[in-house]
Amino acid sequence: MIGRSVLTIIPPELHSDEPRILATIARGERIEHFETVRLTKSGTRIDVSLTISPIKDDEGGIIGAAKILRDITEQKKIADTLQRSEKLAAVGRLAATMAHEINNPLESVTNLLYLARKDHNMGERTQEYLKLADQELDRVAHVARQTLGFYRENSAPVLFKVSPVISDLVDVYSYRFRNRDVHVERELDEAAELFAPVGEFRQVFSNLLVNAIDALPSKGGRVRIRLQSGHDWNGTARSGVRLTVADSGGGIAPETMPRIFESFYTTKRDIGTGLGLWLTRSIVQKYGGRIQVRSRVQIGTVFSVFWPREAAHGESVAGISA
Amino acid sequence: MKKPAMILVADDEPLVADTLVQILREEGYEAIAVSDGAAAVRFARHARPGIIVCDVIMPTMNGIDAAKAIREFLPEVHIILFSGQAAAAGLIERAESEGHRFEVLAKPIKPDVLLKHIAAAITA
Repeated sequence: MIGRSVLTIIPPELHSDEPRILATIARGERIEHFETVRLTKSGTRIDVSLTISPIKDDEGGIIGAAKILRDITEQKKIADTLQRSEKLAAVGRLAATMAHEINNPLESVTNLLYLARKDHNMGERTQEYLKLADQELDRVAHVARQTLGFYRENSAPVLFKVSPVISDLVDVYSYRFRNRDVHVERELDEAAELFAPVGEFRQVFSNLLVNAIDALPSKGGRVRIRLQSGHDWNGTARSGVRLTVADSGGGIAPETMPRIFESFYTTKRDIGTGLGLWLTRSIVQKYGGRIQVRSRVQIGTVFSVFWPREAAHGESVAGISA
Repeated sequence: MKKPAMILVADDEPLVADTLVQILREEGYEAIAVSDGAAAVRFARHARPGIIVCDVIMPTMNGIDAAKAIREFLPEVHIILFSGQAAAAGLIERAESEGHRFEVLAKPIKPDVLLKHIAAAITA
């Protein structure tokens, strides 16, 4: 560093800070615990806390400055994690409060619709309206159970055929597909089986399916769902199922891609919580699975999940390619 | 299929309780609603229902305490707990750690699903 400009260790976008720091020192003032970013010898960015004191000669003139840089990268990471945890805890409390307020009226409306549909004196058109209302209510109930309620009955792993679970969920969203002229292609391996909690598998697929729908324009587009029995694509012998959900939507911008699995990161301004993909990846990882995404702007996005047949808690990877 | 003497529905939401009772009656069951755990215990002691469909989070006495109390004098009764609140999961887990076992369903539950559970409980 000797003989080189101090700007060598300052990221280019922060170069304008240096004249301000020098002006402060020139006034004889100290800078204490200024949090900023600096570059290491290898060019890696690190968070630092900067303290700079002017060095004065016998007459009080400024002849230099003493700098102390503390690497606070870990500290910042811990603080960020804590902040995210607090946000999640707040969401949890909100969900618990909302659950009671939403699930009870939902139960009442579900029961009332059931009773209304039993009345055979109504006209054909009214029956059709009630059927649609019931289907829509199924969707709301499904979302409420997943996000607000408790999925206790599905928490234990069971051996199940995967294809009917996928078909049932596609049926839940069928009205939305029809309404938006979305063409849905299904290629489902009927023999594919998993030993896993059904509710959590359903939640993973539901999140990917909803994302695919949201990625499409308001009319038209294509969603392709593929389920295969197979092995992990990393070349290991682990057997399981591969699930692919592909859409012909606008794709994910390359600069957005690294952040899509972060909690509270969303590109769906009005409807996104920023929790869907984060939760999806958390579930897949919990059972030793892997999730990958490939996307091309204006072409579409493909999410692929490998879920091991025997759910094993442990290592997993989220891969991203654009 | 043999139908039970009576189904008791306990829920502090009157519309949930009343509509469930109506659905059960239309299916040919004898059913009656109460609005809290303490009332469920009182009524069960008097009427000795075969099946109890019981909300978990209720005023005065929660559904789990009510279920435990009822089982003391009515050990053969089949109890289905249902709740839409995550808070209920903690209560149920604690009761299970004490050796109590319940059938648990998440609200909102479709009536035909609940009816299947009831039919299974009767034939069990």
